[in-house]
Amino acid sequence: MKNHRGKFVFAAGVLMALLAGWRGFPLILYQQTQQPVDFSHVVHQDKAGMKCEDCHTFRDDGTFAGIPALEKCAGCHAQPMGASAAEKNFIATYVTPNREVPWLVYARQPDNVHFSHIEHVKLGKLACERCHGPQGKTDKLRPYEQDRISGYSRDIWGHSMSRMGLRPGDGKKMTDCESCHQERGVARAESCLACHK
Amino acid sequence: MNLDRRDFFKFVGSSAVGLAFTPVPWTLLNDSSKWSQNWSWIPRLQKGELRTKFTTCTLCPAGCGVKARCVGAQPVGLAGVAAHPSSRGALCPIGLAAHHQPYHPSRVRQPLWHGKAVPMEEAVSRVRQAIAGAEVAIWDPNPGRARSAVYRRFAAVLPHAVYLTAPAPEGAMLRTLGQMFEKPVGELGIDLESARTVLSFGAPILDGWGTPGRVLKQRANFRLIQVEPELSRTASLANVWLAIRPGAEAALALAIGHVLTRENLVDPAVVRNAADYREYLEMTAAYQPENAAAICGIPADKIYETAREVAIGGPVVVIDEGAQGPVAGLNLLFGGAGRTIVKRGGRAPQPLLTRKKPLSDSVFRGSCEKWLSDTSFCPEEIDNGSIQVLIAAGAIPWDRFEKRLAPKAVVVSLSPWNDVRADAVIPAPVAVESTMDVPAPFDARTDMLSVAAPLSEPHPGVIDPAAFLAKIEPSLGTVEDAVQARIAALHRTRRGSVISYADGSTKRLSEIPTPEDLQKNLLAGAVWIDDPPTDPVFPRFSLSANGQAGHALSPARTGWRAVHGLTVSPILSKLYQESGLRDRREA
Amino acid sequence: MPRTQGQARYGMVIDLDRCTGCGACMIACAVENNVAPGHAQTNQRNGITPIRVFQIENGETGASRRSAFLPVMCQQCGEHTPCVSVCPQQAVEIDPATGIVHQMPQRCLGCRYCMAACPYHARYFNWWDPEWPAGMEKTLNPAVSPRMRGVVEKCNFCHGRLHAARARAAAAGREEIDPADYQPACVEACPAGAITFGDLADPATEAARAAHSPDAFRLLPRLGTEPKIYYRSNRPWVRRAGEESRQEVARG
Repeated sequence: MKNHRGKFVFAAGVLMALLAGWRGFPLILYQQTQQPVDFSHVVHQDKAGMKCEDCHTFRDDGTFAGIPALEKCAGCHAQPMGASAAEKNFIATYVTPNREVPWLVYARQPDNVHFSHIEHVKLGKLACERCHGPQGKTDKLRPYEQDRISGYSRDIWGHSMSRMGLRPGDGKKMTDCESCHQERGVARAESCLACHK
Repeated sequence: MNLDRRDFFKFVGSSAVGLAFTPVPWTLLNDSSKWSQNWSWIPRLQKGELRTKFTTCTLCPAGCGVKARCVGAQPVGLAGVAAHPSSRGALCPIGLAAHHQPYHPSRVRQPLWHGKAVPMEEAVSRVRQAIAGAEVAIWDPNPGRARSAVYRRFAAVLPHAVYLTAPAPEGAMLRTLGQMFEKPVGELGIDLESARTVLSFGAPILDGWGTPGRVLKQRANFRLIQVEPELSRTASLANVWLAIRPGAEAALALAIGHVLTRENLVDPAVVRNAADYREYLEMTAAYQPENAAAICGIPADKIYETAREVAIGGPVVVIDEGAQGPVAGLNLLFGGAGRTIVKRGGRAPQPLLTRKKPLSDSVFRGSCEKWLSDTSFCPEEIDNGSIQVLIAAGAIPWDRFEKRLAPKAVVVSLSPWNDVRADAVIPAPVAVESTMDVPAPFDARTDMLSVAAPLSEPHPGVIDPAAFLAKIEPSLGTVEDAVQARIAALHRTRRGSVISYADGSTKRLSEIPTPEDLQKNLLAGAVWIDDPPTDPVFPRFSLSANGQAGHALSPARTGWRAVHGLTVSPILSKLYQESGLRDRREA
Repeated sequence: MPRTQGQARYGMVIDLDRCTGCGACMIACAVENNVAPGHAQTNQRNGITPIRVFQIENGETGASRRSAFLPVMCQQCGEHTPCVSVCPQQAVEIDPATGIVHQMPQRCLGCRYCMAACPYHARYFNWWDPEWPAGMEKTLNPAVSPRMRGVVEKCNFCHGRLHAARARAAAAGREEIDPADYQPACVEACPAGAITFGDLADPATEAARAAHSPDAFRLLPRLGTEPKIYYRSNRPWVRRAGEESRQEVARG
């Protein structure tokens, strides 16, 4: 009787590799960390009636404030506004000693990338959710999954390891920018230095 | 089942094949390239709000307006201020990199005694010990500032101390001119904007003379005749270059005077006002261009041509690098008094700088007077070997002091930069870390004052020179008080206007309610300029005064020439190392 | 004829009668573009000076000798750019929206073919990793990313400032930038105001007008590179100098 052991071993090898690569690899590649402050967008939206641009402001010269500096938070939270432990902790650790919060930025790009928020939002009429997902509707900030090798967030590669079937906004590599630009026929970004610095 | 080695290798090989169909190799490739971009020694760009701050550059006496682009509190780029009435938007290569100075590798960050770092308290006590009972000289390379009053006070309080300084060499010609008038005329300025000819005897008009931005803005309005032995930058860019033999400038000036007087090219008003016109005619009798040509090395017809063209070519200003009487006097002969040479200020004429009188920091008078020492000397006026302790509030011009120092003299340098010849170096803040009042540069048309606000927080180990002296002599008071006193005295004059750098808006000084408001205005980036003089008319003068030679090089030169006494940003290598534009030997 | 919207041709006209060779443009450029200071081994051949001022002479001797100063940066050649045509990496290309020849150090593999091809010697290679004295990296301009060793860089007409101008325009809801918002560092820094920058395709700009004046000239026009950097001078010998290469001038 023909011995199929060889083929079995071969198949086992391939299978193990596929399993390790598709299932195991992401688990070890990405390190889960929590954000330094347990911030609730929902609370700020509902209770404080705030919109994205109240904190994530555009300045007059068109630059984007990004994640607000401590100054913005301390403007309201110099004293506790509510009763949560998270807020008390925040005030004690950051507001009182006047320390900037070391937020982990999901969408952080390398230094040589020039992404102009104002052009995308004001001229491109993109909603924040298109790229950042429904952040504003979350009660807890999702954990920051950091790629242990590159140091960037998993959001850059996207949550699909095959990069197939990525939701819009999941995946912020250059090819993702390019495909959205192509879809919408944006002529503005025709040259390298339009988006690089 | 029995697995053998072949199976093992097959397993490994098939795993490798399988791995190729997983994200592993592709993400590892991608991620390792990103990893290589993030090594610790690769500089990261800062994130933060971009802010604009205005201040005044204090690296040289020109005092150009500065617009600083800052990320948060950190300046990342500098530019000029178009609204500044004299600098007109210009900044020289040195000023453009002033924000690098805090991080200069040669910067001293803690007190050094004989090259070894010592705690500040020890440095203070050593200096205090050295001063006790000794002949002390305090050297101020930048006179005329509020802190100069503090240094003078220090010299006045100590039993055997003298305040040493030197007037800016570029101002020598104006000082010479001033002495040619029968009555004191106070400080003089140059109305370059009115000049249609500039006759320069060796002055680097286009290469850092005066307030560079002002000169370059006016360039199209005047004809530049450069009298210089060699083809300097200014000479090669001038309209006319007269290649004179070195030392023959006075002869050329007298030859020009000869032509003007003999060919009726002198305004009758000038003839009337010249008390010694006849003597001048005698003096110039021997200097016919035909004779002078042999001395100067300039053809006679060129001398005639120059004298005639300049005489009829509109208002002239004659600028002499050497402050020689005959050359300076040409200004008067050409009728420049009151046109291109102007009086500054409308107050009663101030005494000029002479040996025994204090410097004419006239806006000071009000509250600093009782502290002003009656004597300020130049190093050359001090006996050889008589200085036992030299305290220098800045860079030390060793060539001027060597002979004056006693054999075991203690030299203390209050400076951001190391000086291996000094016994002690007390680290001072650099220019962009200091609050400094900036008086009018020597070429300014009117009196001016701006106050440079710091762009950066001082390095923690440094101490303001005046504050260091106050540790030794607590009665000195602070520089902040001295600046405030100066601004208060200015406010009391109710003269002039304040021009804001941010938007060029002009306010009359009388519209500013309090001295505190004026201080706030100035610190936000503004300059006060005086009104034209209430008495612009000049008295009679003598053309044949000898004048005084300018003193030897002092660090306070303007524009590019300031590089002689400064430690500039390493980025200046672009000019003298990575290109042939400048010769490092100039510096 | 008004230009097509979004199709600018940025260029410069440099007045050589005003340039005094002070070097302010060189320093402002280095500060704006995060060019590191030279170290012990840098010299005139291997330093990085995206704009570089040369001194040229009229060839006379004695009292008739005169010099002028010539600031040279990337000449922003027209369609037939030598560097674009030789780059194996497509690391340099002409931006259709602005006409600026964009050098992308991030794509460059450092073959330096473009440096050989550029007739103006306006391209510089990073022979070393940039190094700033301790702490001085805090003064880096955040609008421009520093380059690593092994890549070529050149003048890009201060793309960081163009980005800022675009952001300002977008803040006001405009697609087109306000020309007053976009001025390369050298233009802003020149104390003599010798450099005029603007859209050469828009006949209303000062740059376009000056470029068409009779005393304007370009460097090495016989090569057909159609540069967008124009120079002007009243002096005939300066205008003639543009036609000769440096080797020709050196040979006399």
